[in-house]
Amino acid sequence: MAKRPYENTRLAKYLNQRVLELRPKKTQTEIAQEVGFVNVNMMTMLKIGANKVPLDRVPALAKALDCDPAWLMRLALEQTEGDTAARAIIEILGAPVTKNELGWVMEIREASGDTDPRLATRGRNAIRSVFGK
Amino acid sequence: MIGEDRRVVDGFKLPSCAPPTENEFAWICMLRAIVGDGNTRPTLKAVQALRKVLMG
Repeated sequence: MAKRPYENTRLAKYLNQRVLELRPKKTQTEIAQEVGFVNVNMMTMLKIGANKVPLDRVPALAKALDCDPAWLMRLALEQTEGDTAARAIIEILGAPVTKNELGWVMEIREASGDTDPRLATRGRNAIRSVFGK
Repeated sequence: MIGEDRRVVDGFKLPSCAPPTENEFAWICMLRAIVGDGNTRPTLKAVQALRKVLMG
């Protein structure tokens, strides 16, 4: 069995990046303690992809990493792909909506006068052109 | 980050505070599909394009 089964997941990569970004403010050990990990090496295990992030730790981890909890939850659910429970959650509830995505919703409401516009081809094409797709 | 320090009055709720509708969620899913990243902020260029489409 692979020693680092989650090494190539977006969550493991994101944790590496975020811990580096936070380094001037707090250490990895402090982050682990804030999350409530008894083993302070747990952050290393998560970063290298040896372990997956337990879903029940996502809220505390998001707080410790100062990031969007919905975004982190989505990455955590993605990491557990293959896990029947996680797939069922996404299928029923959809992927969690981040604050940035809610920002888009607010812009859509303002631009449309809160008329709950349907997503039409024109709107899709406009967004595609903004992102060059 | 949006809406964290919004002040509300009891009995009133701004439209922006309501959870996303099915139509709005379709917009979000389209954004996720196009951008390939669920955490992209609305940019000025994107907002201007949205307004052009939605305001006619």
